[in-house]
Amino acid sequence: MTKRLGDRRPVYVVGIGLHPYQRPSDTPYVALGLRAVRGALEDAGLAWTDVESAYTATALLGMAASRPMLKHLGATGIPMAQIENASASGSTAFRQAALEVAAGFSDISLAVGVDKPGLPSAATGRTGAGDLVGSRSAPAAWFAMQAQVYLSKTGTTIDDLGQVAVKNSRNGARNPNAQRQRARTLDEVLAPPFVAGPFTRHQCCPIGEGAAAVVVASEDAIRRHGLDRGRAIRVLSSTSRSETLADPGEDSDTHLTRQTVERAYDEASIGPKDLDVVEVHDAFSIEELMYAEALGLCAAGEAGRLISDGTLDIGGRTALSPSGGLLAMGHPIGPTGLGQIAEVTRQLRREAGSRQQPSARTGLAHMVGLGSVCVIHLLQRP
Amino acid sequence: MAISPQHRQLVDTTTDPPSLCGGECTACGHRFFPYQSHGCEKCGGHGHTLRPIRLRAEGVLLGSVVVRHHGGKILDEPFTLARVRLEPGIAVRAVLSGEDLDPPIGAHLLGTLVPIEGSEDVELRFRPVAP
Repeated sequence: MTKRLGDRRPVYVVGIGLHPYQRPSDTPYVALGLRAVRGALEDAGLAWTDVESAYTATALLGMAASRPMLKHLGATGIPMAQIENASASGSTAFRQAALEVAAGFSDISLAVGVDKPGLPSAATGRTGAGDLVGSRSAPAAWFAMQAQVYLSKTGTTIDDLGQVAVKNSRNGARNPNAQRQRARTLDEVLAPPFVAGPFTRHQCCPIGEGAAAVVVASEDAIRRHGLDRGRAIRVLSSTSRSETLADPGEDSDTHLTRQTVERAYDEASIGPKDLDVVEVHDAFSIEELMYAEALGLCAAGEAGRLISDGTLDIGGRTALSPSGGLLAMGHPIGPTGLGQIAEVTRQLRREAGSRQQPSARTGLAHMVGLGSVCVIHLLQRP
Repeated sequence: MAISPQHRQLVDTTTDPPSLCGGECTACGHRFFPYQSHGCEKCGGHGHTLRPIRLRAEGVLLGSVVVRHHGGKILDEPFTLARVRLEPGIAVRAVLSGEDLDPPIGAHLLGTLVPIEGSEDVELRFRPVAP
C-alpha cells in the first residue's frame, strides 16, 4: 500500500541559503552553489559532515555537476545525484531530499539548485515526432496565447495583467536575492516593445544564474544536533504529477496544477483558505492568474481583480509571490523551486523583513516543468 | 516548390487541401498528431497497434497570438501563432497565413501551403475561411 509523506516520520526545513539570482557572469557554477550551501548550513547550525545525502538540481549545466562542486566542502563520500526536471528541477530535488529523510534513509539531506544559461536543449525536440511550428512556439508565445484566451474569457484587463508584474517587481525590490531589484509602475510594465500578444519584457521572467540550497532534517537530527526547533518548518506534503490526456481547449498546466494541488490539500488535510503565503511558477504574468485560480485561492476569472485590489499582496489575505516570483526574483531554472522553498520558510519563520506576510503560518510552493510535470509542497510553522 | 524538411513527415501534400499525418490506435481508438509508433498516450498500445491516418487540415481556432520578439531579437515582420482544434481531442500549433492575422476564437481555418520567406520551400499554415 502506498504511503503519503504524513504517514512517515516528520521532515523539517532547518536551513536555507542562496546566491543572489543575477545576469549571466563569469562566476563558476561551483562558486554560486557553494555560497548557497554554506549559507544553508550556517542557517541550520550544521556542519557539512552532518549531511548524509545531497541532490543537485540543474537543467542547463550538463552531466555530473554535484561532486565537482560539493567536494570543496570536504569529500565525505555521501551519496550525490543530479536532478533534472526542467523548471521543476529544484522542487523535485527538494522532494527527493524530503522523501529520503521521511523514509529514514538519511537524517539530514541537502537539496541545492544551481544553474547558468548553457548548453543542453530540451529532449522534447528529439523525440522523433516533430510539430508544425518548431522553435516559433517559444514559451513566451505559448503563454501569450493563453493570456489572449484568458482575457477574452474572463473580462480581465490588460491593466490587471500588468499589475501582476507591478506587484512582483515591488516585492523583488525588497528581496536582496532577486535578479530584478527595481519596483516598476504600471506604465513602465505596459510600455512597448511587445514580446508576444499583450506581453512586454516586464511580464516575462529573466533567466539568469544563481543558486539556492535547503537542508532538511528529521526530528532525531534536530534533537541530536540541538537545532532551534522554533525555526524548523514542517514539510506537510510533497506531491508531484505529470500531464494526462486533456481536452485541447484547456490549458494543460492549469489542469495539471489543479490535479496536483487536490492531492496536496488532501495529503495535508488543509485547503486554500489556510494558505498565508504562496509562491507559484509565474514565468509569465498570466501564469500567476491561472495558477492562483487553479490552486483555489479564488474563483475562475477573479485573480486579476484580487491582485489589483491587494487581496493577494503582502498584508492581504494571502501573499502571492512575496519573493517577487519568477518575474522579479528570476528563474535560473535549477535553483528556482528551491528559492521558493527558501522564501516560504523565511516567511513562516517570520524572518522576511519588509516583505513579511503578517502571522504567516502555512505556505505553498508550486512549480511546473516542461513536459509537463507539476510539483507542489505545503509547509507549516510548528 | 518542395515541402520544408521540418514538415516532410508531418504533411501529406498529395491531397487537396493538404492533410496532416496523424495516427490512430487500433486498440483503443485514440487519434493523435503527429504519427509515431512509439506508443499510444491513452492505452500504451504500440508498434503495429498504431496505424497512420490522414487528418484533414481544417479546424477551429482555439487561440492565437502575434509574436513580435523571437530568438532574442525584435522581428521586422511579426508572425501569428495559432492553436487549431482539428477534431475532438486533437489540436495543433501552427502559423497563421492570410490577411486576417487576428481572427476571433472559433474562427474556421483551413490548411494551405505557403512559401517560406527567404526559402524555396513551402510549409503548411492555416488561414481563416468562411465555414
